[in-house]
Amino acid sequence: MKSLKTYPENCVACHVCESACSNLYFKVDDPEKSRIRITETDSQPRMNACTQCGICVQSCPTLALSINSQGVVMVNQALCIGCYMCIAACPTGSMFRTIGAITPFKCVACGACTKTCPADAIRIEENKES
Amino acid sequence: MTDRRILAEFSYELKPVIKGYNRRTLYIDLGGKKIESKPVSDMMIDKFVGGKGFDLYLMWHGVKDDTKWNDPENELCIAFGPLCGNTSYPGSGKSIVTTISPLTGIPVDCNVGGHFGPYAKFSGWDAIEIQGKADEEVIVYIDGDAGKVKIMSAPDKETNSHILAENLINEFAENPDKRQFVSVVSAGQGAENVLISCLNFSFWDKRRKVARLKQAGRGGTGTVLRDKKLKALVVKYSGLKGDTNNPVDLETLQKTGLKLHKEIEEGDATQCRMREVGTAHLVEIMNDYDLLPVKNFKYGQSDEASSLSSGEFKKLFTQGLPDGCWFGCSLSCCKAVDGFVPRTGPYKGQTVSVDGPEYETVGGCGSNLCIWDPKDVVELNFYCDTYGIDTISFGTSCALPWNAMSMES
Repeated sequence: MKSLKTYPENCVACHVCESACSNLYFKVDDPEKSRIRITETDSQPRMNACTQCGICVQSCPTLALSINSQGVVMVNQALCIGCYMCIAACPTGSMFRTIGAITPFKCVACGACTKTCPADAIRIEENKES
Repeated sequence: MTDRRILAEFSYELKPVIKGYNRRTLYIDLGGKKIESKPVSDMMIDKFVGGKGFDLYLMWHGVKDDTKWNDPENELCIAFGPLCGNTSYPGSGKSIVTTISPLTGIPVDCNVGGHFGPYAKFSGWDAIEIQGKADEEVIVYIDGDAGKVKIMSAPDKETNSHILAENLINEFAENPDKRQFVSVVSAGQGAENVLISCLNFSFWDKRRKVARLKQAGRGGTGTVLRDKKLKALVVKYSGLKGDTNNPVDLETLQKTGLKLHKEIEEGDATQCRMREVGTAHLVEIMNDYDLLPVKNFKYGQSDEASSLSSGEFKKLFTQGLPDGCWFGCSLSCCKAVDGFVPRTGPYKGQTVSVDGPEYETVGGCGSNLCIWDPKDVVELNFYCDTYGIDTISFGTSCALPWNAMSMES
């Protein structure tokens, strides 16, 4: 199973990953349109990206959510009607919505952000667990 | 494939819904084979809003003081409202049905879930008004993708809803993957014989691959449908999205809806447990408070009621699936008993999915008749639904003669 693993102890909260992600998928530099969210706290930053747990899949009434062969939960835009039951079901708050886009979005472990991180705080990792 | 003749056809312009309204209602005269569009005025919106208001407004103008339920002049109206079809708030799939009731002689109104309401609304109509009686058995088909309404001949032998709804969904869906875009209104053999009937509004369950049925339960609406020789209404609409209503402020709507989704997700498990057992959670509450109908309303409580508690029905319901009868309804209160095999009647031995039972069916067809086996309640639920009979009226109507016959002299 492939997913984005986060290492908050390394994170310096530069937010470059958020820029990389939102630029890639929404062509704009906007943390509200990023699939990884970095929240600064008094201690180490809180890093939020989908863990591919799959809990949202069962909440979708149109079967728009599915798990691909690499274990990544994907959103099928053609089937999604934007009811946001998945956003409510997500235990980590990692399914997002934004103004002007009906379909919600989430980290799909593409690795684009990992190439920009200066602190080795995000890595794509594969594990054999089911 | 059923051989159908087109008896009347009406083409209309497909236009987007604006702020929850189409600004037109659909009028169908089955006897005269007439199909028309009527405008929705500002006054209608200001004073009557939609739903029951529109239904009764249309009936006010459509029938007379002395119109009987089985006069051709009687109308069967189904209306939606500005919020209908949105995917942010629970209960947004509802339609309101009105007609002059065969049981009372005056207007009755029912509310009903399923997909028909939103699909008919997004097909272009704020309400549907049906009058007259057809010369032969017909169906009405609203094609919301093409902008056409047709009255078609209905030689279908089957009128019972669990089969007819599925047959019509298969017939009118473009392909098996698009069955979720079709919804059917139908009744059944029971509605052709008694007045205590209901209408079934279907929704295609993609996971279970069955047509499930919600009911416009009260007042004999199914009898009016069949009296008009209307076997079914079918609607197809494929363009549903979260913003199809074109609300004024989508952002606020979605944010508020999401807040509600989350509150329900977090709170329901310790409150009404609708997502877990639906309205059946009420059985034990009503029993505790001496309000459960028992033995023709003679008692409000029974020690035997524990066998009809929500915990017993939970064992029969398939858990862990999104069960709402409209997309985005986070309350998701309808439940289904899958793989149920009726032990009696013409469908004995066939495997079916039964939507329900709701609390009212458990009370009406269970405790009020001193029927304490949950499987018996599910079987009664199944037959009532497919026959187009209202479970509440059925249970209550049986309770009186049964009680009278069993009373000691």
